Amino acid sequence: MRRERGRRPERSKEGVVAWRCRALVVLCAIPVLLVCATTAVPAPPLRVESLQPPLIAVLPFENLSASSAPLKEMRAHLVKRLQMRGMKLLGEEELLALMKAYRVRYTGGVEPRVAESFRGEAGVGGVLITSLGLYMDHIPPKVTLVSRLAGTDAPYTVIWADSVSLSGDDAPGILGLGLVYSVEVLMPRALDRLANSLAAHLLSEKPPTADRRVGTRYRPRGFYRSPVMSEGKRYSVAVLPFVNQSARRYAGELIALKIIEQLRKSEGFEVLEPGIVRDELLQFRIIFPEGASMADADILFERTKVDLLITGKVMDYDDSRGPGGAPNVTFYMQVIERQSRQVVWASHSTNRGDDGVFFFGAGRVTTADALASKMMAAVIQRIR
Amino acid sequence: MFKLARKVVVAQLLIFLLGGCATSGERYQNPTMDFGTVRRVAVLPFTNLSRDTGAAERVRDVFSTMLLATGSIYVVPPGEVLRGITRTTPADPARPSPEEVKRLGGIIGVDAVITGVVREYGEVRSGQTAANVVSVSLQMIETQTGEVVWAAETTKGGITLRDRLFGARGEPMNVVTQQAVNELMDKLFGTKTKTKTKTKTKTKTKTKQ
Repeated sequence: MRRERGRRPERSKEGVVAWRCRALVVLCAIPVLLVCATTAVPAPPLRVESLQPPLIAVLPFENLSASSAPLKEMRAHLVKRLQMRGMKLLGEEELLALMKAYRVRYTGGVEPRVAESFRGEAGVGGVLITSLGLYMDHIPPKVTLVSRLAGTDAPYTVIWADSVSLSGDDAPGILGLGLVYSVEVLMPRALDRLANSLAAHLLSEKPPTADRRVGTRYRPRGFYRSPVMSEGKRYSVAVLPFVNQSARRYAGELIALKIIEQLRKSEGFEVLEPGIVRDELLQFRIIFPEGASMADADILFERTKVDLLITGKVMDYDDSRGPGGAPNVTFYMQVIERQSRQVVWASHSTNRGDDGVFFFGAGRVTTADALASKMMAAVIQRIR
Repeated sequence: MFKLARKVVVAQLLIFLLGGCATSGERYQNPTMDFGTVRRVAVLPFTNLSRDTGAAERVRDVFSTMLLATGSIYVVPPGEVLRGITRTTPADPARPSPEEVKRLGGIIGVDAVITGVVREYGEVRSGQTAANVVSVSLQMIETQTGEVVWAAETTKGGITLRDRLFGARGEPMNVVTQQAVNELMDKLFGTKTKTKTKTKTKTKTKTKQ
């Protein structure tokens, strides 16, 4: 059949109606799909595989948010979620009895004697330490949780580490339908993600991996890398609390936790549990208002037997309050190597949450913690 | 008439060329000093004359990192510098006397110390326009003699014609600080630093040795 040039083929009346119906269905489906895309779907509980996870003691949450928060309820939620995923947890009464017997008051880390007692008396294989980094219950609500699993065997390294940062305006969607107005909605999502990440690691031996696609905008502004650092070598690392010169309380501890998380996620590093480092600092009464001196570094190298010491300074760690604001993070980092007794890495990084954001807020980072994670991932990539 | 026009063109070209040669700061360098002998330095805390209480620390940290990044000089960690200051007990750690510099050099094992003053750090306003500005001056003091062997100053940022015409707010503070430190590096090494700005807030630096 030949088609005449310049003339459209004629459609029947039924065909036109059917075509219009299909177009209407597609148009109606688009907003529904968009709303679904912006709303987080809770992940299904993971099934227990053949691997046997160790017995875990979940310590009470450490509050680094500098605000009051329902820590007990949050911990109870996490325990419930971990049990749902087949984790073996130390009973509450047994945990409290052990904490009372060894006078454990600091829950932001594990000291060697506590780790030994947990292992010897209750057969605990790992201690789960969770820190609340941010808890904002006004609009938009924000939540940050940093968690790690510390081994109870010498040399007391961090087995797993991950963090979650959520904000109510992370995915506003069309007409703001994806906005979350309550921290009670965000918190279960954050706890779910942490529980899934830990379960995935312990049950399938799949560690959370570092984000390899960190944008160039998060790279350090200036850095020095000594040729002493070899690429293939596996380093043991101790992270010291950063000197905090920002307006935010506990920013030094928070940035140190970010480093631990990113080091654990990248290959080639074995991270010493920060509770062990804290114990040594207290024992030798080491305080460093400007970062570690070589004399301090020598003591820590001798006691902890690590290859690298990470120290630094935080100048900005600001979370914006209210909608539309951008977080701001600035830090300096130095790495001292044991054998050469020299600084083998130095860098300074500074970013805002809206760096490189031009259209409709795409790529905006809403919390200082998430921003610090990206910046730290970029630093660790460069160190490797 | 034609000759006059030619003279005007030549004069304009000269003005442009001389304008390009202008620097935003001064420099002193001891002509008898062999800078090749300076392998280890300590950057002392800077004096802060600006309104921002953290300005001196910020500029010092950026300068220390960038100096280390050149690969030519080793910069002693700030914790070690503080240990030296604590043991030397100078009257003003930011401005030590020649004797104090000699003692400090002996304790922390450095060939020279760098002192600095942050004169301006923050926003400047002119009418309805505002922009960031940084003004820093540095001195390098040799620890063997306690003499100043190098000094330089720089001012970067401020309100430009573009800011006035289009209402822009200038470069971010960190970018301006980076530019100021880069210029100080140029003056220290007597080289030209390539500065390539990809985005508004990102600066990539390469120093020619």
